[in-house]
Amino acid sequence: MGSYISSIWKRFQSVDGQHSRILLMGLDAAGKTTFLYKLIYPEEDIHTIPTIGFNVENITYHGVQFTMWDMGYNRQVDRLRRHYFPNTSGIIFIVDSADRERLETNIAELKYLIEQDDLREVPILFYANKQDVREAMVPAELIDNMGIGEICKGRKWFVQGSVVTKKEGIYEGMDWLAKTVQELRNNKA
Amino acid sequence: MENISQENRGRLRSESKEDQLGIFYEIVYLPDNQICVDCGIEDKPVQFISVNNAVLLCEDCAKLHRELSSGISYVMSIADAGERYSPHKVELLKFGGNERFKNFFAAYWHPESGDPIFPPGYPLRDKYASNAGKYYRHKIQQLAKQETPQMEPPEWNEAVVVLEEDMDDWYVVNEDERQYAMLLKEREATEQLQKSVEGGELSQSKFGQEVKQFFKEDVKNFFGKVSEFTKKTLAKKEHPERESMVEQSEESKFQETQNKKEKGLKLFGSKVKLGFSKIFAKKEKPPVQFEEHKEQENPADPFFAKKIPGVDDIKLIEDEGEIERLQKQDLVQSEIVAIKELSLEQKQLIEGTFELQKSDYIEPSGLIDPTKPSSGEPEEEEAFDIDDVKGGECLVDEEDLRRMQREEEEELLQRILKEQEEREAKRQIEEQEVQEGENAEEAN
Repeated sequence: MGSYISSIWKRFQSVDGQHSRILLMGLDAAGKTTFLYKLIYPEEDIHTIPTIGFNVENITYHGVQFTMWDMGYNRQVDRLRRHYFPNTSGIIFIVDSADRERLETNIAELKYLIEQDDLREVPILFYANKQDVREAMVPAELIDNMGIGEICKGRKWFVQGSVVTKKEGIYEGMDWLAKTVQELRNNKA
Repeated sequence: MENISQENRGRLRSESKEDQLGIFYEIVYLPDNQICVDCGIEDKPVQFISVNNAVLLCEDCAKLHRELSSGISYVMSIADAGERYSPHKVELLKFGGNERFKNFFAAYWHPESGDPIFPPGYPLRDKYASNAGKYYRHKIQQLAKQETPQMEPPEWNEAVVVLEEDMDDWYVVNEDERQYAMLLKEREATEQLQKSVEGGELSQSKFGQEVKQFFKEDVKNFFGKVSEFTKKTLAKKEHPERESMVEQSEESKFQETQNKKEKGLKLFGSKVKLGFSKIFAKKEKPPVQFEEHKEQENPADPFFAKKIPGVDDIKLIEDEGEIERLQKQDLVQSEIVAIKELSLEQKQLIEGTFELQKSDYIEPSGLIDPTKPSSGEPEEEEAFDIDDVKGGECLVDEEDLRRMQREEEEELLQRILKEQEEREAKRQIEEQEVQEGENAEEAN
C-alpha cells in the first residue's frame, strides 16, 4: 500500500516537478529559433534574424515541463554558454541537412558538446532539418556522414527528419524527448 | 603565418589580420554598399551581409533572405562576419558589392520588346534562385579563389529558369494524390483570374492576353521539367533508405504513442505557457520603394555606361611572363586584378594609400583651419585646446580655468532659465487658445 502511494506521488512529482532544462544547439541558420517559436505559435509565419545571445521559453508538452534555451551560435557567447550546461536533461541538436559544406563544423560542435563533463549521459535529439530542399541528406545518410553512432556511444539519441517551417516531424521528435526525459527522471528517483 | 605556401604568399603578403579586417570594414562602408540592394531605401541602416552573393542588406530584406536555403543566400550580421573573419570574405567583397550585383541583373534585356527581364518588383526568391544568380555566385567564388570559372553566362532566355531547389510535395506519396494536388492548384489559379475579371481589375482582352502568356512554349517546357523532377523524387521516395524516422531501439512502443498524437496536440494547445516571450507577430511587409530604372539608348551594352565594370569584364591573367613581371614590382596576382578593375577609392583601399579627404572630416568647432586665409582681426577669446598642453605641463593658469568653468556654469544656467521661460510662454499661449475656443463655442 505504501509503495503504491509512493509510486503515485512519484508520478505527480514527475508531472508537476521542476522544469527540465533543454538546450537548443546547432550552427547558425539551422532553424533553432524558428523551431522554438513554431512550437509556441503553430499557426504563425515566423521570420527571424540571427540570434544574439539567447532566447528562453517555458513549454509544457505531454505533461512534461521544459525550459528551452535557444543558444545563438556566436563566438562571443562561447565562453559564457558553458555556464548553462549543468543540470540539463536534454539537448536538441538541429542540423541544416542541405548544407553539406559545413558538415565538419557540425561534427566539431557535436564533439565539443560531448566532451563537456556537465553533459554526460544527456540524451540528444537530432533534427535533420530542411528536408524539403532537393540536396538534403536523408536521416540515415546524416548518421553515416556525421558518425553519430560512434560519437554518441553510451547515451540515448534519436534522429528525426523535419521541415520546421511546415511543422513536419517536429512533434514526433518532441514525443521521443518527453518520453526519455521522463524515464530518466523516474530511474533517478 | 610561417608555413604559407608560395602560391598563397601573395594573397596574405605583409598585411596582418587587422589590416585585412580594416579593408573588410572599409569596403563595407563604401557609399554604394550602404544602401540595401533589394529595397534601395536610403534611410534604413545596412546591418547584414549575404556572404555568397557578396551583397549588403537591411534588416527586413535579411529576414526574407533567411527563408531561402543557405546555398542560395547565406546571411550573417556584419559584426558577426567580422568576428568569424576569413580572407575569402574580403576577396568575395572585392569582386562583388551592391553596385556590381545590380549592374549584372540590369544587363538582361529582352532583345525584341526592350523590356528588362528582371524589372523592379521581380520576386526576390526567383531572382536569387535563377540561373543568372547561380552563375553570378559561381563567377565571384572562382575569381576569389583565383581559378577559371567553369560556367558560361546564361543568355537572356535561359536566365529566368528557376532552379527547383525546394520540392513542395515532400509529403505526397501517391501518384493520385499528386495529381489531385495539381488539379487543386490549377483550379485555384483559374478562380483567382475569374475573380479579378469580375471585380473589374482586368478587362476581358487583358484576361485573354494573360492566358496566352500563361501557355507560352517556354512555360510549357518549364512545367515539363517540373513533372520529370517530381517523378525522380517519387522514385527516391520508394527507396528504402528514405524513411524519415530512424530509432535506436523500442520502435514498436513509439508507434503506440503516435496513435495518441492527436489527443496530445489538443492538450498541447491548451497548456502552452509563455515565459520571457518575444512575440513574433506576422508583420506587414515594409513598403518597397525601388529606384526608378533609367532607360538607356543602347540596350545591348547598358552597363558600360556605368563606372564599375561588371563581373564578366574581370579576367584573370594567365600569361606567366606578365605575372612574373608584375611580381617583380611586388604586386600580387589577386590584387592586380582588383587594382585594374575596381574604382579609384577601392584601389586606394587595397594599396593602403587611401587618405580621407578634407571634406570627409567633421571640423571641430574650436579648431582653426590653417589652410584657410586667416582674417586680419585677432580673435578675442581663445578656446582651451589640448594642443596647449606640452610635456605634461598646462600652460593655462588655474585661475583662468576656474574662470572658464564659472562662465560655462553661468551659460548653462542662463540656457536652462531661457528654456523654462519659453515653455511657460508656450503654455500660456495654449491655454489662451483653449479658452478662446471654449468662449467661441459658448457664444455659438
